Amino acid sequence: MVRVFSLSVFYKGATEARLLKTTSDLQSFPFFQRGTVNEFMTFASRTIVERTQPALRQSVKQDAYMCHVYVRADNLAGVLIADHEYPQRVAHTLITKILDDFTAKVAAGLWPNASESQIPFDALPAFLQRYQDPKEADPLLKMQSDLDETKIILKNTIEAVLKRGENLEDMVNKSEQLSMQSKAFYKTAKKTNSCCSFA
Amino acid sequence: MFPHLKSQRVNLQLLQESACRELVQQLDAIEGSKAIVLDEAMIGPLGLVTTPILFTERAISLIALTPEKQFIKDQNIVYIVRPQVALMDQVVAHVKSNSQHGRQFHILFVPRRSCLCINQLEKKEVMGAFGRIEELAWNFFPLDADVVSMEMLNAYRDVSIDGDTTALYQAAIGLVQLQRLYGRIPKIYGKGVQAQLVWDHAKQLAIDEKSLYNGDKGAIDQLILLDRGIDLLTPLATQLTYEGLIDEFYGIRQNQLKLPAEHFPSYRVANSEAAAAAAATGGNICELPEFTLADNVRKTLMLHSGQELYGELRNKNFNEVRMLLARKVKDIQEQMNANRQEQSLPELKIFVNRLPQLMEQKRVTSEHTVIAGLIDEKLSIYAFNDDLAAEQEFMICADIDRPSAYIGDLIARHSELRNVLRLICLQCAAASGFKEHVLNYYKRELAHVYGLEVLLTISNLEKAGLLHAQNESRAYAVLRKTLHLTVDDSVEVNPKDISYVHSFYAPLTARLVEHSLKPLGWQSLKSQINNLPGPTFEDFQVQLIGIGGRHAGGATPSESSLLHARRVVLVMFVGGCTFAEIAALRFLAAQEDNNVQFVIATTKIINKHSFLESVMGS
Repeated sequence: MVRVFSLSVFYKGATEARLLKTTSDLQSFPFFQRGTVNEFMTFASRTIVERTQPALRQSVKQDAYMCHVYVRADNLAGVLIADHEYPQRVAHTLITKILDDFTAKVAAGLWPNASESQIPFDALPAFLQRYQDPKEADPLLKMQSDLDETKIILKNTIEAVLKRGENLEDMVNKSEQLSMQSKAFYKTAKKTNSCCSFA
Repeated sequence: MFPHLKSQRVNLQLLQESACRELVQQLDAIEGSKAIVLDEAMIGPLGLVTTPILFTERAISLIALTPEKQFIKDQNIVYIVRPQVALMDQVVAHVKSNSQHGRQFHILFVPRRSCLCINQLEKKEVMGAFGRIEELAWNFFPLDADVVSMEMLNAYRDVSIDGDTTALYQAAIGLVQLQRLYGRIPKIYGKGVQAQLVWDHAKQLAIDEKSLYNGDKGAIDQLILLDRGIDLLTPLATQLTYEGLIDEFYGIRQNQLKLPAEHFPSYRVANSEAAAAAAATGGNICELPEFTLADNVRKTLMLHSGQELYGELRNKNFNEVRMLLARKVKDIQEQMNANRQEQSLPELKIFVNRLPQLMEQKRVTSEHTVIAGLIDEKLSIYAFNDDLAAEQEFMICADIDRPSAYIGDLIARHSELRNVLRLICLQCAAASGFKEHVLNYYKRELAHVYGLEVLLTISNLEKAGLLHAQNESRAYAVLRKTLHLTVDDSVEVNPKDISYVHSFYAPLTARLVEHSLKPLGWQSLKSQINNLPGPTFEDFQVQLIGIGGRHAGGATPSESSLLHARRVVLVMFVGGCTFAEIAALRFLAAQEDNNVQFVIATTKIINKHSFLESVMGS
């Protein structure tokens, strides 16, 4: 199933990655495991940011999860942890979007030093919920699925139109019967020309 | 509504427009609101030159001629009728029951006013009520791009039995009208007494037409006039082309075919949907009058060259039509069942664009499948096949000098008189006349079974030349050999010869036309053609040069330079022609070697039933 598990924004400092904001959706995990999974995810995200060069995108497979990370040139980084089915392109588009949004709302000066509670950015949970369905994130994907659906509707409509009027099967039967009945009209070919003699 | 009329070099749409303009002129000359009253025979021909819009634009309603008082609110009533005395009586009755204060009556005679009719009106003392009494000079009605018809069913009967040559005179006027529209016809060939009379009239009338002689040669290169009386066998034989069979079984009137609507699935679907809807709303089905399955609910089909599929099928032998239809249906089936899941969007787009066309093809093919199915049913009747076999034996001159046992049988069984007489006349035509004992035998048997009145009918047939005693020449037998009227190796599908129209018999008239196309023309047939009754004639209409009216010599130079262009030949059948003859001529035109285009003119398109009925009737 397509799921996003966590979204985080980091600041990649000189020595370590600083967690600026994070959110997660752990409903698919059993209740008592959630705490552990959360910690693990945060740890994985931090590690991966520290290991990623600036101005680089990466997608790393980790057991059953995919970690998508994007570290910007200004050292602002976003990490999205999802399952394997979540489309990679959508994940990165989403990260880019979140970082742009973050940049707009939170002053750059706060990034290196502030703690999590000081960052005025609350949009992450909303993003997470919305983009559980990758189609929402990616207009391209949405269009593709809309297109597929339209195509099916179109095909059904065409079938309905074609059914109108005379039943095709009846027409085929009638015409086959017609062509099979063909007998030459000229019957008396065998008859000898017993033509009239001149009196 | 008439684009199909203009596809050939002689653009018959001009004829239609000219006729329409004439009517409009006459109508516009009448002030006030008008209603047009027509008798049934005129409704079809009116539809050949006008469209309904013409009348709705002018708020003119079209009403059928019945003697009762009708609710007409218009100030003027215009009758459009042929000049027949019987119709005048109907008109008088109509006038009397629909007279009201301030109302004016007018008559437009088609094609010519008649003193006889006007006298009749005077006798009945209604002349005072009439304002305008005018003519609509509609002689030839355009039926298709290559066919014009006078729509005079009884032309042959009137001339040969009643000695009334009005139809011939009208034909001549019509020919001059055509030349006025399409130009002078330089070369004329003809055969037969009635044909000669038409030409004599036409020539006389043309002398007054300066325009004919001053201009260049017109669109028509040749005129061939053929008297029905030179070939009485063909109209009596059963036609085997698609159009011919439809006409013989169901009757095509002015390009329209009416069939009981229940044969057509769209009607049934509409009916069942309506029934379902009515049931759903709890209403009474009887309350929907338009969906009652009465016999008189008929579907009207237009049959002319504007319908593409019909144009392909109409002239072919029915056996070829069977195969063609099956092929077309398969083709449509393939297109419809194309696996749509596999198709990409661009392919789907192309398909959707072609969808209306495909649906139309499906509808039209379905209609013709139904019609062909109906004809197929009729063809499988024993009586039809027995009659056909008897016809064919006559046509190959088998046992022709003896009374036919088959006909004797039919008479003994009191079969339909019209058909019995048809077969007798067919035998007579093939034998070129009966020996006295044969003729007497038939007359005796017929009188025994059908009563003495049948002798009157026989007398008409004799006057018409359909029944006669044998004279010296065996014209048909000789011509059958020399002109190959019957062929042994007949081919019905993809034929190479015109004989496919009757399966193995080529209409004599069509063979004559075929020969006229050869370099020597009818010269090569000199001796044989004289076997046929009536004069053989040839004539020229040359261009006048200068004020003194000197004629240009012989063949004008412009004619020889046009040898490479297709000749346009106007073939006029005086007395009627069949769809099979038209199909044969179209076949000749379709053959590249002949380099010819035909325009066919006739007094009426006939079939074996209508021809015989007109001659049998009094």
